[in-house]
Amino acid sequence: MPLDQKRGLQNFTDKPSTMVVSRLFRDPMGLVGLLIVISFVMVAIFADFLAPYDPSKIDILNKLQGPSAEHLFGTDQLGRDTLSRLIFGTQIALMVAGVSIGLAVLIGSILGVIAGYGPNWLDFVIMLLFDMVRSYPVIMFALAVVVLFGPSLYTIMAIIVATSFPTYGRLMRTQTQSLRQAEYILSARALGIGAPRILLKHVLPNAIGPILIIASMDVPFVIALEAGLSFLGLGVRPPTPSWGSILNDGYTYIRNSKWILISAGIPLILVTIGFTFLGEQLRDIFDPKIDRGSR
Amino acid sequence: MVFYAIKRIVLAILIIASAVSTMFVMIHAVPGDPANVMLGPRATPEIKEALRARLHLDQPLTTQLFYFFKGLISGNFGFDLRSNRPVLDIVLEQLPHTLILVSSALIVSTFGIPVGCYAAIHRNGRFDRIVGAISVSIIAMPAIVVGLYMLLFFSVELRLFPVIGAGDSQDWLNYLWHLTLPVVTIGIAWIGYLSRLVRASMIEVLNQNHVRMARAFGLPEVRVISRYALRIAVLPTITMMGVSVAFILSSTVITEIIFARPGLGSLLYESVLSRNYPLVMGTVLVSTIFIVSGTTIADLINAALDPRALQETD
Amino acid sequence: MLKLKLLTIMARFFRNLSLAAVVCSVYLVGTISIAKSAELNVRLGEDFTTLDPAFWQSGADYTMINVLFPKLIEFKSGSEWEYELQAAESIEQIDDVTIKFKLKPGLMWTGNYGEVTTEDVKYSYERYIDPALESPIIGDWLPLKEVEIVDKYNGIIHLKEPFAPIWWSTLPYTSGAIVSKKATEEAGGKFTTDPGATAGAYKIQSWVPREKTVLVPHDGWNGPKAGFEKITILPIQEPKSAEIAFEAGEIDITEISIGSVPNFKKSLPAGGVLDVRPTADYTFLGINIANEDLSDVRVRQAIKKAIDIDAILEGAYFGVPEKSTGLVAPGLVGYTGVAPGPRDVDGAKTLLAEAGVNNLSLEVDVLNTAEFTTAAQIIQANLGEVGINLQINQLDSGAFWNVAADRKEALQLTLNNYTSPPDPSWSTQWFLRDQKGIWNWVWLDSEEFDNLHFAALKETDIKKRENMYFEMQRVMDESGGFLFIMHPPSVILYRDNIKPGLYPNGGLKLSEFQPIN
Repeated sequence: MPLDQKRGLQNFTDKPSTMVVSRLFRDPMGLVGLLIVISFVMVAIFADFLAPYDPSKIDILNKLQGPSAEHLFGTDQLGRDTLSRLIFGTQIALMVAGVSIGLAVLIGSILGVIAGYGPNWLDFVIMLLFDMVRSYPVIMFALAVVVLFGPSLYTIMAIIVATSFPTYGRLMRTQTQSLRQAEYILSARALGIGAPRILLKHVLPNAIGPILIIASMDVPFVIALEAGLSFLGLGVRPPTPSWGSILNDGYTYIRNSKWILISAGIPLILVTIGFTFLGEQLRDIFDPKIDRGSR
Repeated sequence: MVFYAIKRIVLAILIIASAVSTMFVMIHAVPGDPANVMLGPRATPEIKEALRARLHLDQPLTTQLFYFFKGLISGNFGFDLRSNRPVLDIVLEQLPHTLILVSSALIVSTFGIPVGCYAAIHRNGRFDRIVGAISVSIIAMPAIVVGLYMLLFFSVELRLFPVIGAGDSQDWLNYLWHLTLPVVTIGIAWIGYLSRLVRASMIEVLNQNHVRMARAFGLPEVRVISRYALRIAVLPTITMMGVSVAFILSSTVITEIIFARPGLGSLLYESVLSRNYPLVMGTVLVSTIFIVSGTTIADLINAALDPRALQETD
Repeated sequence: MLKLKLLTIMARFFRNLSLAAVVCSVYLVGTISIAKSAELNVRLGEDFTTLDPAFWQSGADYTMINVLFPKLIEFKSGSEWEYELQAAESIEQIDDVTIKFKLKPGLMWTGNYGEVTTEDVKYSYERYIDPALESPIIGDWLPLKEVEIVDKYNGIIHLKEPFAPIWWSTLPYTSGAIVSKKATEEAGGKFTTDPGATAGAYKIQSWVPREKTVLVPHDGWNGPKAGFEKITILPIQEPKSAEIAFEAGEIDITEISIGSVPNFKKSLPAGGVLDVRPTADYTFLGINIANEDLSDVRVRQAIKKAIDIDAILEGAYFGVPEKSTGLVAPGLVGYTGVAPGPRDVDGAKTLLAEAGVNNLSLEVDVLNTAEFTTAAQIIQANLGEVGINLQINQLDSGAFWNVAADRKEALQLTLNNYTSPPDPSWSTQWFLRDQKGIWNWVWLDSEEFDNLHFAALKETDIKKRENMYFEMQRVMDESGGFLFIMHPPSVILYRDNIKPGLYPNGGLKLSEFQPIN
């Protein structure tokens, strides 16, 4: 989890989204990040067209080949084209990240708002839950859950949701609390406007920026977690191509062909750089503290 | 302050207790029979039944949990299902390896401090931008990729570093040699992370009054930075490290597995897979204590340095 | 003040670190040139967990027990399963239920536990059948009546009934190990990691759990002289790490994965010797007869026909092992030598059509190791060609070994590897009717099979025994529940300056390792 996200999320001020985009484009780092992210999304969407081979097509006679004109990244132990598997792996990686972070944001936000708006005892209980989740090393929690429910895509997504919602929850709680006493909220309440409406109108818009930053920085961690579990043989079911299981193949056959391992690491590194650059840039834009006086 | 500290510590104990209970319930619901683990394939059903009864495994979960906590209070963490040795002994044997790994990684990460510092002083210069890009790109670099790549290049291809184990504990040079790759695996992300953090807080500090004043008095820049600015700017990194224990412990699991190192992480992995429940619980308990103490201490330091934090409810 | 201190500490640390780096590099150059004399570094797949022969489980336990405790007879190293005298000076079968033995004098326990006597032998074997011990391998000694003490060195083993496996999977196997009566009784009748006293070629000098075990020669040993002054045993789980460690010179002998054989054959590391040897273990696809979707024998036979075993052997095992002919491996009593027919996709489709099955969806449970998941993916592709959709459940070892108990008749296909000592009775016992759901994951339900198993246990005539095992394998084949894939060879990689002691299945007989100069 990005750890200093608290810094820079307060004093957040609303900015027109067009400005955000133009600022993103002006800085090379943000631009690179954005481009990487967009291209990965494109690869995921158009995997069917981009992949030169069927990722599950077994061709044992041509196994563990090095890079060649037919197979740019070589083949794995079953003769499957590594490039095609990585391309389809993009779908898995982004889907896992997108769906699970989305759910985490949703669940976290609801709990966070309840904690921030609700009675003290409820706040305490929810915060205890957040702290509890935070007190496990993620992979430890993941191991237990995977052996409990059996390895599958859903289990992995459930683990990610369960380990990352507190971050968003804390954020929403802080936002809610800070606005709770704000004058215009008090007067809105006095006018008889219901709590849900107030929250929707005032809390949510303020929180979107920080949530975007955290989510974007979270993506690499989530993808790495999925890769890690698949690496340990506790991830998605074969023959589904996942970057982690390709890494595992690469490790297993490290002496036969180093190309599987090398090429499986590349998308993981690129995705990491892309989303982190993007997140950093968003932070710089949204965060007046670091922003002040520069650029 | 004292009241706050007590409150924080009570809360920490509460968190540990609930985290451990949750894990206990989860791990005991996992399919896999410890009786198989202890007795192997050829045991008769009667023998397995007898064993389950002795371990209270035939009792409802709540009763088992009660026995677990009862044991904890009397200092009994249970016994390894396979070797029948006390869990506490085993965990304490493994702990130093992980502690050394984690603390060395943190020490390596301090390379980020001068880097971040320099970047802050020469803000927006070429160095700042290059270092910024590099450190941001290594921040979130998955330990698994770093570890495997290093294994491939330094151990398999170049054969510069050993692949397995922790080395000889009697021979510290040998130990250090074995430690190198795992430490870099975990530490490299933190170099980037620290440099970003130090850069940010340094920029803030440099704008503060007393630093400006010192400059105005004509003190040499190096002196201003090393004696005044850096000392303040480094502080947030200390609290940050406390909060990061959970994250670092997570990356030790993968690292210890890749480099076949003994330690809490690999112990946990093996014991989860073999359904060695007492050992799993022992490892979970110890790691949870570490993580919660980390955050609690960080909070307390924060509170001591910045009284405003006292007013926050969490 | 605190901050200042921190800074000083940091500065000091950096200075030390750079110093350490210099020293370190000098040291590295140093280590490479130091030649090791009469020391052996052995890799085992895991650390031992119990040294009590009545409770052993893992291969590491097995290796340790064999080097630490004497047996009356012990398997020879080499390529044939034969036994030789170890603690016994002589041993002979008087009749079907009586075995007479005489111990070699002068074999001493470590510590002050005296000489190994018939008292110890009696205690070691009779403790198995004491229900209070709750030994999970009570079966090895179940027919034992008693061990009669004639004098300090002479004794007689009395059985309740004839028991053929005693010469194969009891006396020379772990259950034949002799423990010290005095030391074991002091420990409360059983022990785990501290036996109190041992009397093998080597004794444990030190043990750092999960890191290493150091063995040194035992002075009280009266067998062939121990070859090494020091044996260090390193538990390394991942075979890949072990291979890399061997190349780096960190270990002298290790088992490696089958998939690495072709590569090592092509380019063997300098000074390395590769030893591939067959085992009695068997890898098979189990097809659960009791499962609703698989209840029709034609469906089961169709699955067997549809699978391309050659592709599995090539894809998952790099063409190293031979195709299996059934439960019993080559070289054992009951080996048929009749290879199964080739893959028959059309035949499989016809069978499925006859059974009126289409759009069948099945699940296969496998261990999450590289070999098994690779094999499972080939099976998945094979079955896909005959219209069966296969889902692969890759499970960690804890979950996998519990899968039958957990899912019972809902279990469908399993890809499995059972280990076996060189006696077929060890393998057939898992497929008896009372093993259904325990180890009989195929739910084989055959009275004929059960009767043959028990008859073969008592049959001492080799020819008749062999015929019984032929019959049992016929029953297995007709059930359609088993597709035997191969008997995984064990592959050992070691340095040419040692002469290893290896059991025929590649197991390490540490007492026989010798250096070559």
